[in-house]
Amino acid sequence: MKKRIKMLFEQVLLVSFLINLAVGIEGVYFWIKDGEFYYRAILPFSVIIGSILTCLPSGLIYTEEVVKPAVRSIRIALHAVITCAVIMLTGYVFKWYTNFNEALYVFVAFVVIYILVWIVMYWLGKSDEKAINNALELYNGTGSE
Amino acid sequence: MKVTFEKISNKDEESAVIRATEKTEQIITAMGLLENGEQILLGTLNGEKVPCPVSKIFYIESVDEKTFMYLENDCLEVQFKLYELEDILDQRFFRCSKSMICNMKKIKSVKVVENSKMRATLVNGETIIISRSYVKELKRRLGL
Repeated sequence: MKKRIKMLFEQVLLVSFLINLAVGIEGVYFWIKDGEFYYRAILPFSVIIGSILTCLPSGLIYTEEVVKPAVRSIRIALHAVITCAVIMLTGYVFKWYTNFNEALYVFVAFVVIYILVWIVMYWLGKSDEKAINNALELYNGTGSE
Repeated sequence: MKVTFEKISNKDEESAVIRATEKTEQIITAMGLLENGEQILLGTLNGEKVPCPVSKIFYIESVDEKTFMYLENDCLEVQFKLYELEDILDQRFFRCSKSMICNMKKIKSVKVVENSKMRATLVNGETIIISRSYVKELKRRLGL
């Protein structure tokens, strides 16, 4: 349970960062385009709430055992749909969007962030893999069994 | 058990005497360490007790309340629980999942699989899974 909470916390930090990045890009874009752009006071708080809520469905895909590729694909698809629903609902409650175009922007931002999170996780995993294999080579090269 | 150490000057006269009512597994382990310079665990194979140097162990798994040591070709049952073995065994051995301890010297390579878990290929070609949370422990042991 403790490990699961820790994993969720790490994801909340990553997702918060990426949502803030998306919001920042939006701000810069409209500031350049219109000359001014203001954030609502509730925004930072709503980003944190949104990050926590979107990370909760991660429990669906976090398992100790390795599952079959088909089961894993279904879990990921289910996770993506639930997470999307959560973010759109959070956006609606906190007024991240007030019309269709803004809702579309939130949806596109979600898709980009979702893919980015997977890419970052994959990249971190691959970095670990490389570092561990190099260290194992050194470790097993010193001292024989 | 009371343990006494007596310092002597002549190396040829070095010896150890264990006085006990029974030759337990702990005593056999200690004897193996003193006689061969390596830990010996006593396993059971086909109802017979078999001494096993720890360097021969690839991994140890707990299945249905029983603990098994996997060697290159054999599998021996051992009386210890995994948490007891974690204390007994040296730094080569690390917990790689809730139900498994692995010998790092027997890992050939690792490959990341889903959710940052790792699949470790052992030198005999077998593969085992290192859980996400235990990957950190492996990294720590390797000084990463």
